[in-house]
Amino acid sequence: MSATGSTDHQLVRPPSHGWIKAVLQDPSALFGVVVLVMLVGVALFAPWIAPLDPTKQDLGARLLPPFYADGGSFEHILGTDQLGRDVFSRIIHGSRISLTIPLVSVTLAGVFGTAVGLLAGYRGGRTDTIIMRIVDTLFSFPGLLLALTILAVVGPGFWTLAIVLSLRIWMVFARITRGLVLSAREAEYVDAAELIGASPARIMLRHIAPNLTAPLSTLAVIEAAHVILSEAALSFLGLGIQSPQISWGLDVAIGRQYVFSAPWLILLPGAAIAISVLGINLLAGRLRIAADPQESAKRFAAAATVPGAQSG
Amino acid sequence: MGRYVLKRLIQAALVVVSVTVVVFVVTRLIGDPVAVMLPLEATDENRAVLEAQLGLDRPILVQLGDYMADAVRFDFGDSLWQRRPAIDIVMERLPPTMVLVLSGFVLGLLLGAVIGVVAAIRPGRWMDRLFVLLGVLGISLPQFWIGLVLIVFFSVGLGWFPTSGSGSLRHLVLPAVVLALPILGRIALVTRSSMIDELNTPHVKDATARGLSRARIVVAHAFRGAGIATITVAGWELVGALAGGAVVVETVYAWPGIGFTAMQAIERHDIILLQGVVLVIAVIVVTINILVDVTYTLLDPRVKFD
Amino acid sequence: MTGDRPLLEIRSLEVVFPTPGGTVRAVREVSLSVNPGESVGIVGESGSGKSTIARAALGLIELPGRIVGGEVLWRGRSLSDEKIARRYRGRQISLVSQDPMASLNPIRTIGVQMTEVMARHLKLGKQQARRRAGDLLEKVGIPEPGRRLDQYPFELSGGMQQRVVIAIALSCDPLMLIADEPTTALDVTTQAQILRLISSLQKELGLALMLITHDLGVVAGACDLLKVLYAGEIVESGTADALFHHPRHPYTAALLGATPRLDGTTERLRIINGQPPDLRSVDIGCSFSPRCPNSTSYCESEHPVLEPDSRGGMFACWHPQNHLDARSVPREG
Repeated sequence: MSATGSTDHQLVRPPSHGWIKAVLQDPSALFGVVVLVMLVGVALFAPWIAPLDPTKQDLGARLLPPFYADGGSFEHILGTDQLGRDVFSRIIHGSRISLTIPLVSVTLAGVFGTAVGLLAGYRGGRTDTIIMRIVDTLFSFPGLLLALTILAVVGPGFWTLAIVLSLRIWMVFARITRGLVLSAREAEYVDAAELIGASPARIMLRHIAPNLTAPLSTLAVIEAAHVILSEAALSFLGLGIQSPQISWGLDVAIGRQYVFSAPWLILLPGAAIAISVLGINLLAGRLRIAADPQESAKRFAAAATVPGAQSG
Repeated sequence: MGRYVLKRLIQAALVVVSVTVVVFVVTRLIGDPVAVMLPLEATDENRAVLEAQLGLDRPILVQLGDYMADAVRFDFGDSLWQRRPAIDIVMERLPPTMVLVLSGFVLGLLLGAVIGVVAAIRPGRWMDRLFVLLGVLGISLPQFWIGLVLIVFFSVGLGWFPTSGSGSLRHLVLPAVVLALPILGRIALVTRSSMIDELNTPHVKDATARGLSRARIVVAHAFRGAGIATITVAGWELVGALAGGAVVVETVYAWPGIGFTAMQAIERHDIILLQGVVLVIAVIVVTINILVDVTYTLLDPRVKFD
Repeated sequence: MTGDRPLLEIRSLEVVFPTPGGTVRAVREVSLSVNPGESVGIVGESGSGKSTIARAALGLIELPGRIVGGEVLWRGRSLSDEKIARRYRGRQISLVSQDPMASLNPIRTIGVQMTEVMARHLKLGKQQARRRAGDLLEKVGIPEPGRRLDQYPFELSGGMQQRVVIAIALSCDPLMLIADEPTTALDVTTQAQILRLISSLQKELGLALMLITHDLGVVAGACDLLKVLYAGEIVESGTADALFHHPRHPYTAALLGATPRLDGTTERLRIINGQPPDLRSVDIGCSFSPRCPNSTSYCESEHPVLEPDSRGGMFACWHPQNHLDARSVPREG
């Protein structure tokens, strides 16, 4: 309860509009943007940024510690692995997998899942029932374990991995899209458009699609973080990316044998995964609020709270 | 109520059957089990023997029929690696996994719910921000990595806990904590957000207007409602821990459970054992889903009448 | 019983709500008091600030809303002290809110929701509270009270739910009842029943009543005194009789014209032209002037204040309906 009884009209300034500004004002979302920009930048320009060839072995310089540890140097700023390869350069090149796998998986899953969700939501009736029953069943599948089985039988590799990971997430897009279509259909303007006799395709494009963009892109960001984690875990287990391709998860698995002597081989590539996923999740959290006007208003109300004045 | 349960049971059976079919299709049609199981230097004769042994020389539908009939009796055949029924191995390895998964789950659920509720009481304040960050960290840190990091610091560095294996409570601490992290994170975030919604409902505001204490409103009114969302997510998280987290965490800590067994089976090309693990987990997963649904009807009286 | 000291006293209350579009001044310089046993009606359109006044009277202005001026006193003690307010809420001041379905917790039984309030304020044991809850349900006209206690709100009709809410409000023998649009969410026949119930209970128990509504028809038989609220301000107050028969403020007059008669159609509801003002921008002039038939350019620049009139009431208008005691208004030009 804020009841100061005073008459000073301490009015709260309205916030600046536009989600870009909102994101920049939120430190955690800003962190997410920086991480995402760095991830994309580093992945695109990896060969130019990396000081050394990430696959070049130098058995004379094996297991050198990073610069911050005893015996470390700036020649190999983050140390070297058991084959004398430069850890910093490997982390830089590893970003490419952490960018491309989610890009491919989420695109595949997003396109397919959205199409299925549109179909179910728009056609309704039996089509909807059957599709949603399948989606529900797939949600009850033991996800990662089944992915492991497929990868073990079919054999790991970039494309198998990307497809298997997209198989695990397309249902999310289908379910969300269907829900959005159903609520958009209830809106009066769609009824009106149907009365006028607009074609289903036109109604879909003009009236329903705009309502899907914001939530589905937020979902894509959330699922991208999810896919990065799954890729890393599967590569760590030896069923994802295979050497000589470079993946952070795979590098952590290799470093595991040196947990006593060279812990940086675990810590550093894993930290790259952790920071990337953390950044993307923090950004996704803010995007979700931006996509939902009700959330936005709540957020504003909380921000307008003057310190010292609170309920209960 | 009876019809509802029956409907759920049929759905559950449907899930198990589809998992079985998918596993069959993956292992027998997409993959070549014989090639996977045999060493590279195997002769055509070796192939033929194994094919006959597995019954792979018969028509595909007959194979599927037999396979389903066996699966219903949990008869997956003998493990190629250990030369004894796969189901026996799975059943031996299941209890350690249950101990690990349930400890991690309970830890994550309780801490996550408390953190979520406390954060929601004063949204936007520093405590809330801290807890949200904690929750996002929980769902963002790769489990295999945080598991190894804990080994580096607490086992190698401080020597507090063993690096791997099982047998004592001290062995359980690190893997259970790692398993709990994403559960804690997700539960905290979901509980917080549904608590905030719940605390803003008219009925909670009117309960305040009736002079009830803040504690009673938070616990008896708001959390009762928010708990329904928490239970849903808890069900998903338990499934995720069992079918995903356990594989990773058991591998990192060499915990002799079903996930570790799955990885061993993969290394040894023991498809029969792997299949056994997947199907048993599938059955447990649908059981959890049914339990979650039953919990619903206990928490929300309106569900029964739907 | 009827002492001189008012139960509730609101003095120059100012409440603001920050919103993304700017600060809304929801309640502006509102003063009113409610004496023991007295029934006061507060009438206004939605957004006029009437519900905010109800919540202020319970010491329940919620963030982001803030009281920036004035005070709310319950028997002389300030309700801005949360500790004091919590003691009186539900005990001496009770609330009946608009939508009973929303007011009751959907997943807890009626019995639990009734007894928890009595356990809190009256320190009753479980059995005692339950027995009393049954008596109360009977008192508000709910058949088979014993069975109802174990039912959930969704198993009852809207009218029955509202009776439960009233029973909870009465459960601790309050001194005052605040009814905030108690009939709006109900169907027409139920509305009349609930209104009669509130009225008869008020008289029988000697309660003070603050009845908040957008519908003058609702307060007609139920209230002794009326306050008409427009854009967060009281624009006219007086006895129900005086306001009904001789409304001075053009807004009151318009509301009367807009009150649906039993025989009338809803058509008449739309009689007031225009929209209530944007509460973020009102400052100078009379807030009602854009919609007022009597408005002059003077009204747009000078803010009328609430001043007593000859009937013992008060109104805030430069060009009141009846010119018998018109104020000296400078002619423009």
